[in-house]
Amino acid sequence: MAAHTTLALLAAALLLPGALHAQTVPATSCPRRELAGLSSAHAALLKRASEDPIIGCSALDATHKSGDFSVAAGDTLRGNLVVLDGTLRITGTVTGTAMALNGAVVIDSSGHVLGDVISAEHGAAIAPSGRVDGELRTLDAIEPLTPDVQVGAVGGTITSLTRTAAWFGILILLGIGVLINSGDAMQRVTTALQSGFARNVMVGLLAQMALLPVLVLTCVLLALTLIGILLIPFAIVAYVVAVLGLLVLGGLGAVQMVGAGLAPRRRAVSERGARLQSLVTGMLLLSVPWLIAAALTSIPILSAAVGTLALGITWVALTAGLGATLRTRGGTRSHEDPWGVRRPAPSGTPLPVEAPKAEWLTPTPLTGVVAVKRPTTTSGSRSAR
Amino acid sequence: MRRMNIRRVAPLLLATLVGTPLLAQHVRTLESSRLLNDAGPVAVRLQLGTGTLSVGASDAPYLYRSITRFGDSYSAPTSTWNAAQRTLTLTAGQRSAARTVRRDDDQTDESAQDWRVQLTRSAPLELMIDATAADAALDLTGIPLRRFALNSGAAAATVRFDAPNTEAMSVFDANVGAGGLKLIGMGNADASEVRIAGDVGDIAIDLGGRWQRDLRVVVTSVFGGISITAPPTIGIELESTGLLARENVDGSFRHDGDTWRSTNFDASSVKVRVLVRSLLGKVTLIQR
Repeated sequence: MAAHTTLALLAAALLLPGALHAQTVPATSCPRRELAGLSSAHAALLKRASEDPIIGCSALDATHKSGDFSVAAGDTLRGNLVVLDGTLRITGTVTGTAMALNGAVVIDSSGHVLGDVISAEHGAAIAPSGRVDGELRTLDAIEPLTPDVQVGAVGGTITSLTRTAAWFGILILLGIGVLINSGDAMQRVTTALQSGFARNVMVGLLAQMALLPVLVLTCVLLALTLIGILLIPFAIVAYVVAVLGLLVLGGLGAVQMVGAGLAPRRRAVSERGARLQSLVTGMLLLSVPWLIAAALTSIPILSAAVGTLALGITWVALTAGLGATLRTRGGTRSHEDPWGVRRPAPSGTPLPVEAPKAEWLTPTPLTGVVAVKRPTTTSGSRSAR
Repeated sequence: MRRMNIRRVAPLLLATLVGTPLLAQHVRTLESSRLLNDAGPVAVRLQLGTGTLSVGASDAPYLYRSITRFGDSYSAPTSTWNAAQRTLTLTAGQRSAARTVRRDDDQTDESAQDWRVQLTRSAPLELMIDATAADAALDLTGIPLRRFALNSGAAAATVRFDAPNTEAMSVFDANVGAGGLKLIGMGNADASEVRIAGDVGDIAIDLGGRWQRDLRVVVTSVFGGISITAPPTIGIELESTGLLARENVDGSFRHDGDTWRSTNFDASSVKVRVLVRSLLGKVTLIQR
């Protein structure tokens, strides 16, 4: 198997579960607060801003003003002050945080803000003797809530489904890569799986239990020599890569076996085509529980239950595949003769053998009969007789 | 029956992949700063998880100015100012367990994390930087540093002093991992001691600059190569101890046991003593 293909497979195998379980998580939630006197658009803007960790709940717990607003010299505004869609000019004092959402903050020379100054989109300007005791933050515009966000549950389901389908598409592509590069090895693994699934599961289970002890033992043995100590980090990396490579090869072998069982080889399909057909069919079948789990994203309990089932199925397939991969020495030998010499991989599902039909039978052998020249006479010899 | 052909399958797979919502790689920009109210010393700590970090000096009337560009998969940058203890902690580049505002963006820009920090020229600072897996370009020219510490993980770090430090620095500390470290103009740092600990990355130290006092440099490395470049105006002494380390010197040196000493060492007004402990690596000393 090509190194790049192996690495790509490993990455996909590692990333897939996390990607599939990624869910949208609500941002910061603030205590509910009545926003009297504000338009629905400004209320939505405030809600959105309060969910932003850079702004926080202080956006809600504040005096709200729409449009341009000024704190005059000598005036003191107690608490937080939020201006929506306008410029906030401070010539007096604000005892809390002063912010302009989708607007600018201007602090004149006599202006004083005891808290933070936050400006979304249009920045802040401070006169040389203007004072801000807290932090000055400027950030991008706060985008209003969109229908896509408001119907987040549906969007989340669609996204999960798309992501799951995309990941299985990637796995199929990777499987094709392995098929092209190491089709024979995968076929040997598949054949070993077909010879006895339970035995492969047992071997795979034992191998999983032995993974850590073998790694520890390897490190201990390497630590016996000075050069070995230096090699320990490399040995650990190589070990992990090798194990993941075996898992991927075994998993793809298991997928191919499932596909071969579901879709028997057709007569017109070539050997490689049959393997590809098995791989795609098996991958599609194994993706079904994952797709169901993704479709149930809006019902977390069901989604988790189906996701666990899908995970279990995938784990069994990987375990059996690992066992078969070990039994075939990484797909390099037949499972029936693992210590024997290398032989070509067995073909996939055998072609159906049909009896020859009567119309094609002929008593005349096509080869091996010497043709005898027929004697001929000429008219001249006849006249001489 | 039709023959199954990869050309029939490929478009389907490609369509599936392209169907992935590569939409909305949402990247935000946050600029934060704090006005400098007095010129008292401040301990500043910068913590960056992944991404790139650049640090420089600023003439603006701020203690700091931070510009962070970050993707949805990162937490929002934070800042903590303790007025009583005069400590400032800025963080960025931390992976987010929860999404921020854009909940519709499942496909995030994983690579977007760029952090630029400008620090005041007007107050003495003790600067500590934790850059776990971030490439760091630290131009400390003009920042009055009393102490400096860098903890770097897998990424590379470059530290430079292009002009003399206006404060006397007690210790310059750097712990670097696999990414390596490059120090430029260490004569300008005005440090009394430089301590560098590396694992496998290469360490390059340029001792150029305007020297004001003697310096002791201790470098500990496991695998990485160590390269030290010194100007001819200073006296330099290299003591190298290591299991399999080997030294390579270029310049006018005397060799005595494990010690290499420049011929101008005794006469020089500035003396730099370098102690290298390397398990397996090449130590290069050049004086030109």
